[in-house]
Amino acid sequence: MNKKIAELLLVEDNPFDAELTLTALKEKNLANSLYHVEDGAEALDFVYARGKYTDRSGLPLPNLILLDLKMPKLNGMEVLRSLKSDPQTKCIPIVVLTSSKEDPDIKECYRLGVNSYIVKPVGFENFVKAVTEVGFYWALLNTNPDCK
Amino acid sequence: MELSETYQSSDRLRLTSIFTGWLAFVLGASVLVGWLLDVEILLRPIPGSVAMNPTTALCFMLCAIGVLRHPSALARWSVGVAFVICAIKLVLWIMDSSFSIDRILFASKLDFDMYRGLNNRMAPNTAIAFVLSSGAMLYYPQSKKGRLPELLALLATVLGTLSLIGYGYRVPEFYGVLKHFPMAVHTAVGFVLLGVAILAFGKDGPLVSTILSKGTGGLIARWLLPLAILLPIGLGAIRLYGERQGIYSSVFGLMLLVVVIIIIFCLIIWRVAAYANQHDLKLKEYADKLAELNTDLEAQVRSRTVALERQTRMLELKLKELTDYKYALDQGTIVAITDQKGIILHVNDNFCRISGYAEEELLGRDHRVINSGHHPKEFMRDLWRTIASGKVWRGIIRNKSKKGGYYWVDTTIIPFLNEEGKPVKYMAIRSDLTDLKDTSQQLADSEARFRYTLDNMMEGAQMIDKEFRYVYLNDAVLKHGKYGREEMVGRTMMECYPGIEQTEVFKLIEKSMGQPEGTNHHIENHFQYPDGTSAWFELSVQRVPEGVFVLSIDVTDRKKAENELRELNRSLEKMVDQRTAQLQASNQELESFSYSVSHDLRAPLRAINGFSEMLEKQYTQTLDDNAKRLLGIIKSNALTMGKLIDDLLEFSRTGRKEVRNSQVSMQEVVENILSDLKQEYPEGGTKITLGKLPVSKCDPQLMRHVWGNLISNAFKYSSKKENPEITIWAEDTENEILYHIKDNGAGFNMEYADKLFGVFQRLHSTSEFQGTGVGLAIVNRIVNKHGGRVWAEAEVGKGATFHFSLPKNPNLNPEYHEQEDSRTAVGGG
Repeated sequence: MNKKIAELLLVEDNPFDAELTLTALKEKNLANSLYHVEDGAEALDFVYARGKYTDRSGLPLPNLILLDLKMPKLNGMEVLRSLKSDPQTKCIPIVVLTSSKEDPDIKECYRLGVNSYIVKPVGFENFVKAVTEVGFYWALLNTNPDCK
Repeated sequence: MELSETYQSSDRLRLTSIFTGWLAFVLGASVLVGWLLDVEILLRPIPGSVAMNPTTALCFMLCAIGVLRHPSALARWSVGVAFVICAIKLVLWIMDSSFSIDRILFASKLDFDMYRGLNNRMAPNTAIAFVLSSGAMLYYPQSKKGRLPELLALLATVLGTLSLIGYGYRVPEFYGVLKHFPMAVHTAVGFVLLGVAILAFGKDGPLVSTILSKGTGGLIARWLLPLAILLPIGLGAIRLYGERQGIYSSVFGLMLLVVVIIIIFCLIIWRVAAYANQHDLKLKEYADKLAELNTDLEAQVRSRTVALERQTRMLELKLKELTDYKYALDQGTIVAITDQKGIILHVNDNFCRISGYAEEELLGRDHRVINSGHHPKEFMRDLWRTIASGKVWRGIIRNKSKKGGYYWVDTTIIPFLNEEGKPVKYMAIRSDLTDLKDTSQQLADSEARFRYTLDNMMEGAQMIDKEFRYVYLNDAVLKHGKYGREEMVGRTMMECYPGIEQTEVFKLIEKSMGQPEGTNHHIENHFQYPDGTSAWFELSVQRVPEGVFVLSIDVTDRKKAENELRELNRSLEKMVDQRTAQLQASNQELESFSYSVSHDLRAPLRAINGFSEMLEKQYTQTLDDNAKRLLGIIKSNALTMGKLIDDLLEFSRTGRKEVRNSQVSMQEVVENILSDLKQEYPEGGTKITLGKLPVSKCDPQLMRHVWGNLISNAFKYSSKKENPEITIWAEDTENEILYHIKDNGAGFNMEYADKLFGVFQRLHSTSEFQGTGVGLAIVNRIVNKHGGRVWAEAEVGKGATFHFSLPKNPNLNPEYHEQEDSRTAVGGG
């Protein structure tokens, strides 16, 4: 990577949650190069530069993916599985966003190789704090040596 | 030590007697020789003195023979002759007869032997001395202990001694009597010798035995006697000599004699007294020693007596034991004892009863009396050989009773051996077997009965020998077979049913043949009968002495029922599987439902809260205070809603969660929670008293939840007090541990105590104290899951105390309150 541009991909079907996340990241100036897709299929298209994202071919992979689990079409777990099983993409840090720590899928996420997960709190301030902290850490500070 | 025992040994006395006796004899003999040959020195040793009369010499010889040859007839006769001669001499002398017996021998020579005008005769004192001596000897054959012979012998000796003194002092009156012929000097010596011979011979007389006794008296006598005799004689001789020489006067001589005698006797008496005293001392010493020895001896006797008594007691016990054994033996068995030839010495009552003979009829006879003649000669020979060699014989014998009946006895014959190991007696112990033998017939009857039963029973029974031949088949077996009984018995299985070797039943029978008796096998088999029908049989194959015994039971009906049951079971299992699957599906559904609820309910809440926040931030200038207040209410309600959902999920999760018990340090758990809460309530200054909390067996994660809930409640409800106080302690009881948390906070009304642990039940408004009403429901659910109880006491405004208990043995009844718990949960929801 020649430039240290924080490129984030937010995969979130709920537009309100997406807006809240964007607002939170913007507040911390982390939203400059933030992309938002609304389901899993689209997320994979984005990463692999296919479908409507063919023009992204040749561009670097995103530095961090914030992934919601409960989504129509391809859900978060399936996205996680395919990205983490592909040597090309498995080094992309993926942080799972979930509405509840009750989520039975969390264990499975860890098994599949998720880097972190955060529970989306009801309180906005907490929400901002959680999202920005994880975004900051994974996108800016953490440089995975395996990532090209 | 016996005092009468003589000092001299009896041998020495006998020798003395023989020696002096011989001397007297030789004296007499030599005088006779002197007369015969006219040897003057033999007739009169002192020239000019009297010669010994030849009759006197003869009497010496006769008396000496009497002593030396005692107790022969010769001795008695000799003495008797001497006695008679001298007695006659004395009588003649007294009667002054002209006949003189003492002049018979050498009468011619005697006429010429004169002394002071007197013819040689036996002196009267000589005759007296002979009468005394021979009298003593005559007396002896009756008793050697008599006082009289001793006295007589002593008198004879004194007469001799007197004559000797007379010769010594030259006083003729001592040896002559009046005008008679005097005693010759060697006659006097002869009487002393003869007297000693007789005294030594009659050693048991009181005089001699006293002198010769070993006692002090004897000792003193032996000292004093010679002195008492010799001293006065010697002194008298000296006195006479002095007087006759004219050295001193008669009176002076007498005085001198008296003085010397007094002095010498005083000395002797002093010496004897000293000796006697010393002897007394010794005696006393001996007496003491004796007493000591006596005491020892008595002690020994006592201890011996005790030992003997003990031994006696033991012997009595042994005897009792033996008597008991004998009694037991007699009661239980038939007993007989014979000598080594088989002659009966003893029989007991049982023997008499069974044999029909009386005891008198059996004693002294041998066992042939009861021989039945049943056993061969070799049998009896073997029996005798065994017992004669000292070994025990055992066997069963048929005996014959007196009435001619037979009885069987189990017999043991035990030889009693002497020290060389040879049998001296035999003991036969028998027990009656007649009853047993009688049962054979009953057995036969019984067998017939069993055979009938076997023939006719419902179950099939067959016996197959080792060559696989049918030995026996009952009716049930034959029912479905294609052959009759006669066709099958004696034929092999292979002949009857070719190809049977391949069946499992045959293989089992074959296997059983090679196994030990009593081995049992079971098999279930499906039989195809020749008539086309088929049935299930349960077979029991048992190894018996003849081969195998096969018992078969028709289990077709049971088999059918079993199959039906199995079918039913299978369908039931299927149903259970289906139900389980349904339940699992519904559980899954429930889980995904609660997940969805949490997930989907929270998203809108997040939106409400988040957008309200954004509204407030982005339009902070245009919104008035009331609008901001309203936005605040929206936000806080959204948060409450989120908390409610979280708590509800938590509650449902604890319901599903499994309890994983381990040893938990409650002290540590509580201390951790307290330190966290103190940070949360930094301004409160709550006074906390924490007692010792014992370690408990429980799920650490769930228990942390319980403590966290109860302690944070205590903090929460006492936070408005001025001096909040929280006390936590525990009680260890027999079956459970009780934990208590007490605060001095708001408390509650006990009227509503039953609602305390229900879900969403609150006793305070949210404006008073924050909360969702789920915490205590969770506490209740967890404690119940541990088999414990939870309850509370309170007073409004004064505080509340919460208690919970945990059983010490949680495995006993872990889900005890589960039902009650679910009811509460439903009621509360």
